[in-house]
Amino acid sequence: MHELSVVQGIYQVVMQHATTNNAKKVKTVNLRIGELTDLMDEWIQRYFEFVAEKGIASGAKINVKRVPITVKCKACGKEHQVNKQDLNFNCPDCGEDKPELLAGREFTVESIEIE
Amino acid sequence: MVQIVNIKEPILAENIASSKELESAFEKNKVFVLNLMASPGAGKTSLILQTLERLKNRFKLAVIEGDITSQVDAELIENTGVDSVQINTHGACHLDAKMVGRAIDHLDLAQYDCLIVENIGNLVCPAEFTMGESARAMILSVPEGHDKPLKYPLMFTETMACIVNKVDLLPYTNFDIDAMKKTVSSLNPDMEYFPVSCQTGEGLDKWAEWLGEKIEQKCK
Repeated sequence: MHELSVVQGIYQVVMQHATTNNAKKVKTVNLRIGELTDLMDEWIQRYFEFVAEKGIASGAKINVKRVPITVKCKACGKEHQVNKQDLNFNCPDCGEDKPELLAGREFTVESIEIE
Repeated sequence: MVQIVNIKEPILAENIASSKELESAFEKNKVFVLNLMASPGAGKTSLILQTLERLKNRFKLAVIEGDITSQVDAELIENTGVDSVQINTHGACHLDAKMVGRAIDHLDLAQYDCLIVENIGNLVCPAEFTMGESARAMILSVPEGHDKPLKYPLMFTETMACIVNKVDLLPYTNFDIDAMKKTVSSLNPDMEYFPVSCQTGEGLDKWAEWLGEKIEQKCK
């Protein structure tokens, strides 16, 4: 159910820009989604097919570029990536857990490919 | 001819825009809005009832109740003499800005100091959808286990207060508050914790005092 609300949002953004650019067909939708957001790519594609069924975006391929969680240690300044599986935000250099989130919360429609 | 159109817009652009409109309306009317989130059964309604008891003589409050269906919670609130509006989503698993916008059409915002929004019982989706709120708080109840921050990180990064409810059950579980705080502090070092029991009353005065100060800062 979560993916459906999100996909409706994606569809609105896609159709707004497709219409503005006089598209006859939307072939691809490129998304950028950070790893802190829990969504399954397969279900985004499936729900998009359902939502876009009767319009120019029907059949569009959804590409999801995942952005890893990157934090900067507020104690020593080192930037490091955080593994989504264990979510260990401790700094590998100084061991402090004072992270500043630099990346991982992205949730955007980057571009579409139209005809 | 194939053409690439660069967009770079948030997926939830519409909700973000609606949320900003709500934020302006709340700001203009000096209303502090609390978005309260948790799993089903963690104690959202119980906490709200206990909070109203402690604050309703000091502030003018209203509650927006979010449920998939039924009026049960709104009726409980109305019985305390506090105004409430029930939103039934009929399937949607979270409240969004548009739904809250429709609910506040039933309220004269100018007369309230604080709106408490009880979100749908869900630790996943509500974290994604803002509604112009002044603060977001979540409840984690002891029987749910202290590993939830690892399983639902977004909920813990997106909130400023974590109410640990049902602490009267600590002797019967292996819930480790320190382990939970350690995990959460790496996700959200500024999180504030309120161990409470809506059953025994423990910790509720401190929670109500914290909320009361936030409301004062906003609306006085």
